[in-house]
Amino acid sequence: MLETDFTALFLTVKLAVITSLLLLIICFPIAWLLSNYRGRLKPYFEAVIALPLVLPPTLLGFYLLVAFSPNTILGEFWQSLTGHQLAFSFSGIVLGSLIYSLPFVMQPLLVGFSQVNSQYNSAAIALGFSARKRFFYLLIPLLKSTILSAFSLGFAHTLGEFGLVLMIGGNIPGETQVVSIALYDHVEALNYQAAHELSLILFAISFICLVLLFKFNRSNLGFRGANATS
Amino acid sequence: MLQVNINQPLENFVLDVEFAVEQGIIVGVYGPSGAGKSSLLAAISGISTGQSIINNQLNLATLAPDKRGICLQLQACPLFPHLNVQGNLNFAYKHRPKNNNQLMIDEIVSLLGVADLLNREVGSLSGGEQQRIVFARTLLLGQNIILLDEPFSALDWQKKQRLLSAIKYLAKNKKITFIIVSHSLKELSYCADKLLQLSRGKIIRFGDTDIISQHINNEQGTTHFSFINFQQPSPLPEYNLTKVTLSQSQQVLYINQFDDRNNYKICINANDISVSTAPEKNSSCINTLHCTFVGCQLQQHEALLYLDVDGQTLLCSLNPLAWQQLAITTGQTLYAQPHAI
Repeated sequence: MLETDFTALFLTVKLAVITSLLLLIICFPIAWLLSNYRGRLKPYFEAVIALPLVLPPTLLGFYLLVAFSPNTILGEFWQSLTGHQLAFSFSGIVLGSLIYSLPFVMQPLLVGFSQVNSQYNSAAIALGFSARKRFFYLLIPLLKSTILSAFSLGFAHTLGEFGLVLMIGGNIPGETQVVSIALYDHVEALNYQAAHELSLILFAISFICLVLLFKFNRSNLGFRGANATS
Repeated sequence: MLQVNINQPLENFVLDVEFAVEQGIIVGVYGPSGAGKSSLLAAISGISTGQSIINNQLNLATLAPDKRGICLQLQACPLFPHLNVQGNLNFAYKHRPKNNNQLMIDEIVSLLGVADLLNREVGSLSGGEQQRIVFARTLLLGQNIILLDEPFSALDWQKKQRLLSAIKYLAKNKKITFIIVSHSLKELSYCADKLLQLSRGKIIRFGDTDIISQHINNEQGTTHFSFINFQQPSPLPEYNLTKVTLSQSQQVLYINQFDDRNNYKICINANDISVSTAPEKNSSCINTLHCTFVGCQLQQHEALLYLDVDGQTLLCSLNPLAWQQLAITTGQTLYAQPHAI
């Protein structure tokens, strides 16, 4: 494997970890609020969250570039926050990934919160547990496997990102060149050997992520002894 | 003193209920499905609004459910699946309020007879076992007012009897007030001090259990039963039976193994008794009660006989044809053979 491939691999994993962690922090309170919200606007909120599932990544990338261009308020804010513009920067592809992978982290959390609310939270309210006790001693332990599932799904999905990263970040080794773009480069250059090696590694990492994901899903809601029978 | 005054519009009617109970009293709430029984408990606990609840002069209406000192065990009240049985009990005990009913885990485990379940995982428990542990967890939450919504629906009568007896013990000795919703009049008659009959959100009857239970029992369409009180039971382990004696007439009954130390009475279903005008000989039934015929209430497909046994009323349900053939007169001595007690 080429040194640039190792760099791309490291960058990809770094991007996936940062994106998934940030998404967990962002999505957790939103999922909690949304699962308790019964208003008329709920389908609209849910649709906005699910939009990245159906929109082409290039479209998202294009409008992110437009919205964060240096002459806009958002662009100026971004420049003052990070010290550089959104395009061709690592922080730029993190922002893109946050939007691109948002539904993959949000959906499992929404499902988990709805399940916990309907089955356990309402019973715990009636039993007289305070909101703090319910959150820390019931919600978090019960959602442990859901949180891990959401993280794995966000991580796995970010690993395979291509169009949006290319659109925002371009192809700068060590800064924005992730594995999928390095692979594209190898194929363009007809270096199939390097392409195979990189593909194999990406395949292995993705497979392990999905195995972990399904493993967490099996232990739904942190059930102890889920396979035990009476 | 717990004073309840609720006026709350529900989907099909208004829940309009007002009653007061002393501390340590067990109130049974009885009524058909959709009468507003569960809504009543929800309003008292504070998970729904529109009520005035006063406990010892403290108005609870404006307080959140966790500040009221009231614990409601919902009909669908699951155990927490990330903990085992012991973990669920410890959880409740650990998070109980400071001003609590002082019940210890060991005491509750022994009172409810659930020691053999402690190391089990929640997913491996049967429906009845789950209900016993859910109830134990509710008690360990330490509140002095406990509301129970169909708490023992999955249990057989023998297991139910033990838990109902535990409720009686806790109300009497720990001064815990219980309000229990059940569709089983038999269950409520066994343990409640007061009975509240609800229909479409309104109180139809409220008073001492014996009186209200008798009224409901006389209504058509209900399953009739009687409770017979007895004296100190003596176990006969070799026959898997318990010998009990009726206090006045000293008549002896052999009943299934009985482990209720707080409530010396048995429930006899009116359908489970056969009567004859002369003592049965060579019968497989081991129990025969000498009784006096008091009266009969003839209904469409049933003749409900009121018998006096030991100064207590025993109800016996017969087919109208059997009633005609027996041709009994008031004051006549009858021999009642209860089965399955």
